[in-house]
Amino acid sequence: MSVETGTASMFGDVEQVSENQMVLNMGPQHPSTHGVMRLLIEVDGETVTKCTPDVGFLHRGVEKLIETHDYRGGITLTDRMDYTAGPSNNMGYLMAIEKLMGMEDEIPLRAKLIRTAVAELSRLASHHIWIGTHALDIGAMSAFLWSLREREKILYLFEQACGARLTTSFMRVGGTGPHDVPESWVENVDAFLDSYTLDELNSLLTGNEIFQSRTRGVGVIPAEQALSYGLTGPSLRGSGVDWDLRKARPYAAYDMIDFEIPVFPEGDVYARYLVRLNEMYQATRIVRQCMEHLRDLPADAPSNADRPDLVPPDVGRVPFDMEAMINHFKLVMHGVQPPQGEAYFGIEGPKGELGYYFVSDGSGMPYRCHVRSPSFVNLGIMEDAAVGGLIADTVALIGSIDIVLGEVDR
Amino acid sequence: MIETAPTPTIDAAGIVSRVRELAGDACEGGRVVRGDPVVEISSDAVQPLAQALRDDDALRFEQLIDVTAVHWPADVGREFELVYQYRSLSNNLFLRVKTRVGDGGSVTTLAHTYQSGRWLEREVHDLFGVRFEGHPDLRRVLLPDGYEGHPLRKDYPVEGPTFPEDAHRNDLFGHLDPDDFWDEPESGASGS
Repeated sequence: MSVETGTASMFGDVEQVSENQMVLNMGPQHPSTHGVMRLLIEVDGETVTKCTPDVGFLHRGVEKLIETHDYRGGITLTDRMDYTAGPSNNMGYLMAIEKLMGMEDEIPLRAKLIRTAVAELSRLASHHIWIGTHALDIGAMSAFLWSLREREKILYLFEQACGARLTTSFMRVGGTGPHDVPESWVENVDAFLDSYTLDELNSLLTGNEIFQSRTRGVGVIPAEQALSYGLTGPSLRGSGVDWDLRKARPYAAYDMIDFEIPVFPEGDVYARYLVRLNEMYQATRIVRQCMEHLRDLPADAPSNADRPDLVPPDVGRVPFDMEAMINHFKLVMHGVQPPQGEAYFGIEGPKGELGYYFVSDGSGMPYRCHVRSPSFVNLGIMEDAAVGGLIADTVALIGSIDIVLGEVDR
Repeated sequence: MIETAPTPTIDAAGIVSRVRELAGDACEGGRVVRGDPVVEISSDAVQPLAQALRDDDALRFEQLIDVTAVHWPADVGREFELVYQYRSLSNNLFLRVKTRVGDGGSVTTLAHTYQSGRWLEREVHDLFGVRFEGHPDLRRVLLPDGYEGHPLRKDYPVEGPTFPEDAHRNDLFGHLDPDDFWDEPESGASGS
């Protein structure tokens, strides 16, 4: 029997629609929905027969807001979408603007290396949130605490680099912006990598019999289905599709770095867990190589493109130098003005392909900015993948596709 | 574990010419924009072309990664520019297909060709008010059911339609008039 799912919640949390079928309302304040998401689950006994996600509780109209800010002002809005990986979002936004301006080749190596390192650190931070909450949903409490302890160290590195922990608004068009990372940052990242260990989490979960029985063979997504639903990132690679934008279309400094893309063919929750866990090992490798390359650079290597029309002058010069003051004034008042046209740029974010589509009318504000958020597209598969499983499997499935509601709703 | 990624089999100009062949008369233009192939087609060819793109051996666009729209209110009759972005993972290709529909117009859904179209088209429907014919579940997705208006249209105010016009006034004193705080000068005071 089919149910009008849009109105079910009006009648309370549980509604019986026939002798065996019930509509169960999960969320929006359910702890395992990872934010404010509501699932309307139709169950026959314990088995899910239909699952309808209801999102939008956190919709802030970011795309509309970006249209009313200059290009620089939009940076602060991007890290509020996927707040578990702020620098990654900043980077995708900026690289799309740089593509719109046709200046990808002008970004200096130092900026590229710092961007790559920060993006990988944010991938680590994001996966730490995921591994903790995912294990917590399944019932493993200690993984959550251990995981957040490691994440705290990464947030401390972000704080040293730009002064903020979550909403970093790090980097600007053309490079790292007026404030480069401090000199001691490279040593601090190295010290972090030396003290950082994933083996604790690995030994806690990977061989854990209870964890395996909750995740193996659960929420299986076949490769064709994953492709058709537009899945990207670890959720796609957990279904055996070897696709990663960092290898396929290398951006920033990924082409000079040696790393591997983990792919597991099973397509179940456990495979997606293994993909992300291995990605975390690879991320530490990437960051370490970035630090080695950074240390090889000369001390006066530029971190911003040599483009006075885009990059603000050194702040210390502004009050004393007429040209610097005019330059600063022009940039603050008129901002970056890309030529008319459009550009799409996608990076491999922690959750999948994070793409920004810009349309410029030649003015200082974007005519249109669309965010292709991986969480939103990946969440669409809940309608299919949850059907046939148990209610408890739905919880494991939500955790395994790794959504952030700030990014789903934008 | 993979070590190398597939190298693109065709360059951007090659993709444009191949898609123009597939689209036939429906093609309204094609060019390479900042390295990306872009093809413009008429709105009735969206679904047949998507099917052809997915099944064509030279292209094999397995994923519809994004659907969005741009509102151009000055172009009366063809206000909405729908933007579809495809990716081929096996051939490492990218393609953007654009089409135009008018206000109140509709376009055939891609939800039966690519499942990702279900949610992406719901978002465009929600925020722009474009209808997708044949969509299995065309409801609002981000905004609540029963919401009036489509916020990403250019004529929709960013503060919302019910925002009072004078709300930007510096209203530190609330309803009080600052003039009330000053005593009226007495009539004889100035003369003394």
